[in-house]
Amino acid sequence: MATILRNVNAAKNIRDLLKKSIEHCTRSERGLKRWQVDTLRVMYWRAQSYDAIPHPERHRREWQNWNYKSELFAFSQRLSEKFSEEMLRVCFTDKSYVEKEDEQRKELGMPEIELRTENNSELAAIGTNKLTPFIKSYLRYFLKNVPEECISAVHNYLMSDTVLADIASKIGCTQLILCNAINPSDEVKAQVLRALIGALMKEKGEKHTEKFIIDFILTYINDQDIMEVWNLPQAEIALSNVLKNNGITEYEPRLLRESGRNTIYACFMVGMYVDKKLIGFGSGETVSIAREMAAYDALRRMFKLTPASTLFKFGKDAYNIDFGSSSQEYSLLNEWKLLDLDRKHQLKSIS
Amino acid sequence: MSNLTKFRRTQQWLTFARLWYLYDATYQDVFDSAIVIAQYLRGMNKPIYDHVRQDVGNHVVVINTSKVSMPVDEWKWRMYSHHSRYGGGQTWAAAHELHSKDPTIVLYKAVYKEVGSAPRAVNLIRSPTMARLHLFPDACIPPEIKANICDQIRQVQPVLKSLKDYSEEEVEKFPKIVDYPEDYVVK
Repeated sequence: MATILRNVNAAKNIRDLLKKSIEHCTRSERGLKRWQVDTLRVMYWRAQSYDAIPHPERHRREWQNWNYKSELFAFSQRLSEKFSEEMLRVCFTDKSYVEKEDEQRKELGMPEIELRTENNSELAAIGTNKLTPFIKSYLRYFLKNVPEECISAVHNYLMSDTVLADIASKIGCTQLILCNAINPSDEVKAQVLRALIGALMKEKGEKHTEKFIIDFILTYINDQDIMEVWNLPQAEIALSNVLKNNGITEYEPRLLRESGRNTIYACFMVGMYVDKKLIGFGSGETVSIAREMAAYDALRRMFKLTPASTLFKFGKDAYNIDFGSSSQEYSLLNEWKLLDLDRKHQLKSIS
Repeated sequence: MSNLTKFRRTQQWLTFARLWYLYDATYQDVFDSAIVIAQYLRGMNKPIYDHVRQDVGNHVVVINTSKVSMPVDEWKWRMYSHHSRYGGGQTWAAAHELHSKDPTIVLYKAVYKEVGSAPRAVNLIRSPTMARLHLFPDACIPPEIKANICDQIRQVQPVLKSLKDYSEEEVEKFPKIVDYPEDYVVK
């Protein structure tokens, strides 16, 4: 009983207990060498006092060697863009940061002193106004056989906060952003990127901004499946509509291949036929899914969205293209027709 | 799977589909057939096959296993041993004896050897691989298995016809070099 009590008393002072355990280790035969003991002891107490305990997250600017001015300079040098420093400061200032600063000043009792009131929302609006029409006309220039839904779906994807935030973090915006949180959210990052484009519009003009958008925003769709980005629902209904618009009322889905019909991993392959010509095929675990995928594949071939036929141009090849010529909207899916010249070729048999 | 789009998902489903093959073992060498069947069982005919540990195998339905052949006197000389795990419990049987008891076991054992004759890692997927082999002594396949089959494996050797497979007309039409003399007595 006495020993237990003694142990409990000792355990009250955890520090001593740990010390004793270390000494016990080092004292035992074939234990640690004398020269290891001091190092390990120092390491242990360092871990106890610093490394092993959770620290509050801190922004990089809280370190002494953080120089925001030179970071901003390095940012524009990295992108080979000559932003003015003032403009960059505005770009990276989120609305939430300004509000937070104002509140702090009020708490400190000096609301009349306002150091920085400008935030990036105006620039972002300018950026959005440029981005939307330019992205759409760029897509229309390279995707000539698609309905307007496809263009707007890819546009929405590129303009989504997730994509823009990803691009922003990849060009090194994350730590430069001034907002009320240590890790800026996707919305904030996306807003900053839009503002950067707005700043370019103000400072460098339209042509230069277009080059920037081609280089940094539109490259994001390189190697992506446009059909997947679009994610067209109910492909078979869409296919029948499209065929109807082109004067074809009948199409025939046929089972091409199947395996393991009575097993849980059955696989079916269905082909879509028009005039006894195969226009697309797809597979799936049930016949209905395979049929849907066959319609999906037929549409993909009609819209010329196969990986081999979607060839975007980036960089210097794309700088001098006149995208303004393709600003007119395409027809919607319900009214979409094959181009007259291509009709024969597009509906030809695959095999 | 949830992150995949419907196109990617079905593409993957197609890529990794387990196919059902039919193999007719009539007058086929057991050991040569076993090599081919084991390749299909382990999925080595697929372009995605990369390593022995991959479980990308197919199903193989073998029919007419009672009609398999062995070279020369192999039926007589090839011995199969069995141990009952009691003292003196080891017994041996010639291939033809075993075959007369169970017309599928000779092919089963040959395939079993071929499936596992690669590195040790194969042993981990040996039993699931062998479970995908369906052996039938004759041409009768249960309908639920027959519905699964999608393709067949080419036989390893041509099926030779015996004299009884020819009709009487064909035999009569066959060009003769000589005729028996009239007084010749056919045994």
